[in-house]
This record gives sequence, C-alpha cells and structure tokens, in this order.
Amino acid sequence: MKARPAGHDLLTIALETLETALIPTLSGADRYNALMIANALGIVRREIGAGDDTEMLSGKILGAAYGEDRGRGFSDLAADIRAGRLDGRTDIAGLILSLAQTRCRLSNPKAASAYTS
Amino acid sequence: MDDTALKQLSDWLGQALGQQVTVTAAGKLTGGAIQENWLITTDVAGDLVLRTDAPSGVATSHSREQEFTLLKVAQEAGVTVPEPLAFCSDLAVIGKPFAVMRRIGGTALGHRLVRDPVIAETGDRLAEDLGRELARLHRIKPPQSGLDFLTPVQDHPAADRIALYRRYLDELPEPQPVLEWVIRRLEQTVKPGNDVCLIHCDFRTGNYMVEDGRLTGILDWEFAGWGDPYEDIGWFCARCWRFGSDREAGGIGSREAFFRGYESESGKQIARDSVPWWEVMATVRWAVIALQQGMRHISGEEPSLELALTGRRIGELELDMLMQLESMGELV
Repeated sequence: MKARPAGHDLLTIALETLETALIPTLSGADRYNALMIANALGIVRREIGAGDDTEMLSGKILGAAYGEDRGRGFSDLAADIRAGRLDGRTDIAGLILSLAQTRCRLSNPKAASAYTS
Repeated sequence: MDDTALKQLSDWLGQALGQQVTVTAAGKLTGGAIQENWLITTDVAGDLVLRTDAPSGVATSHSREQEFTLLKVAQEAGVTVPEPLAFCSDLAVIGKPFAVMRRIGGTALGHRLVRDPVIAETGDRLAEDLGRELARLHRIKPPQSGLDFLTPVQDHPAADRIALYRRYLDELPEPQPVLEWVIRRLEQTVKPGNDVCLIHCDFRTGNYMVEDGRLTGILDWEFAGWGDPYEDIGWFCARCWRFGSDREAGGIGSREAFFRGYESESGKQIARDSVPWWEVMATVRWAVIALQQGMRHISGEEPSLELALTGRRIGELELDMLMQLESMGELV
C-alpha cells in the first residue's frame, strides 16, 4: 500500500505553490529558472497522469510496418523510412502524426491545442 | 578585465583605430553560450562591443576572425550590421582573439519584440525592412575572395542539407523515425533551386536588434555560408521562430510585408509555393539542434535544465513539421 497523498497529487500542489506563491515574487534570472522548473514539473505531472498512449502508438507503428515480426525495432523503422521502403504508407503516416500529437500534448499542450482549436 | 588588461586593450585599440583611446570600463554582456560579448566604454571612440570565444567554445561555427570577415562582407553589400572596426589575433592583448564592433542600441530578445506595442503597430514596416536587408545579402554570389573558408555547395543546397541532417541524426544514440519520415518526404518533394548565394543561416527574430520599432543591426553571422536564398526566407517565416505570435514573418509582421521588401530590393519575385518546403526544413534543423542540445544534458557533459527542456521541444517541433506537410498535401 502506497502512502498518500500520491505522487501526482504532490506534484500538482507543488506546481500550484510554485506558480501562485513563488513565481509572482521573482524577477530576472530567478524568475526564468523558476519558470523552467514549473515547465519541467508540468511535463512530468502530465506524463504520470497520461497512461502509456505513446507506448501503445509506438507499438502500433512497428506492428503496421512489420506485422508479427517482434525482432524489428525503431532502428529498423528509421532505416526503412530513409531508404524509401515505407513510401506511400498512409497508415504509418497517420500513426506517426497521432504519436506526435500525443507527445506534444505531454510536452507542450498549448502548442498541441493550437492545431485543434 | 583588470587594469593591466584595460591598459593593453586601450593601447591596441589606439593603434587599430589610429587615435589615442582609453578604455574606461569593460563589462560582460548576457547571452551567448558559444561567444562572449563585452561592452567596452571608451573616452573618445564611443561604446564598442568586443566579441570573443566563451571558455567552453563549441567548435561548430566559424572562427571569430571568419565571422568578422563575413560581417565586413555583409556591411560592404549594404546590410545593416554593427560596424566592424578591428580584429585582434595577438594573444598578448586579452589572451584570445577578438573582434571589435561599434555598439548598436535596442534589444534582440524575441519574446520581448513580438509583444512590443510599437511593433504591434508598425511590425509590417520592420518586416519589410528585414526583407530588404536579406535581399542585399543574397546579392553576394560565389566565388568571393576572402570567403574561401566557406564550404562550396556540393550537390545542390537542398540535397546538401538533407545529407547533413541525416549525418547529424546518425550521430545521436536513439533512432528518430518521425524526423526520418519528414526528411524522406522533403527528399521526395524537393525542387532544386538554381540560385546559390551568401545566406545568413540564422536570420530570425532574436538575431537582430530593434530600437523604437526600427532595425539597428543584424547579428550572429557565425553560421553564414553558401546556400539557397529560400533557406533564409523559410527560417525567418517558420512557425518555430514566431515566439508564440501569430504574425507569420518572424512573429513581428506579415509574410507579404516581408516578401514585399525582399522583392522590391532584389527585383526578383519570391515563389510563394517554394517557401513552405523550406519552413519544414527549418523546423527539421531546429529539431536536430534541440536533440543535440538535449543530448549535452543527457550525456552528463553539461547538466542543465535549459538544455534538458530544449531537448523536449522536439514534441512541438515534430508536430509542426507534420502538420505543415499535411497542409501542403505532402504528408504521404
């Protein structure tokens, strides 16, 4: 049994305290550093809460390219894309776009939502 | 700099400028991980900027002397730059080679410029001026005596870039299938340009100074080289260099104003449909740089929150390049 409040909860309140109590009082390099810390904590908080959509999509991309061949990985995928062996694969392009959208929602949700609004 | 260094600098400056000069103060300016910039205050020669290598110089750009030469070539072509005054290769003066330029006023900070109320009103004028500046630079064609240190174009500029970024990707420890997909699409849709000229290679908001809404000078010539003029145009317009603003030319003005300035100065029409390809290429380049910077943190070579977060910018950059390919109808 894990102790509570849980990690996600702790991060949320730590971030809120940083953003509401600390950052408004700072200026110059201190403010810049605090904003970067808030940015990093925000990414981690979203990743903890997000489940493993990026893993799922990455698996689907490999599945689309290689079927049941479990011996092939992302190095093969990168090399095959470069060599043109996956040209014209609309299914793989669509999955790659979904993966990029999912990753951007975690690292920079504002940038991701600019394309959906 | 201590009193001895200031005295040595005064003596050298006096010889270089042909007049008796006393340096009254020298203070390091902020910014520049690869270069160090010092504000030099003098009695009769005004305020100057001394530019030299930072202690942890990353050896990926031109030397300071080459950069100084490029600055002079640009100035002779009529580009607005901080006036290059003298170069010192004598290590006895401050211990390393340095260039001296006249100080220019204003700020280069992208986040500040795109939110500046004066630029909100007059940004199109600034964009037009920047278009004219770029057109003046692009008049310089190879070969040029004095610029022999620049790498000649091998195949054609776009193909050279694709080969270069693939080499950079091969140096990274992790495969990058998303970037590979985009680079492959660029390779398949390339339209080889037939125009090679001197390009700045980092012509964007953040690398020029503005005071009261007016351009005072274009900075950071360390990446300049022979290339396709559309590379500079795409780099300037790419979404990743708009600092969150929705104005498409560098976040400060409209694309049409920028193009208008370029076209009126060069007398050449910008092929509107050639620019998006180079914007995708710009995003690829920034993504590769972001991965390299992130790797400097991950490898332990230079632990830094800023470098770590730069590495994570890959998320928005990959989405930008894919969405732009899709809007061009070229995702597959």
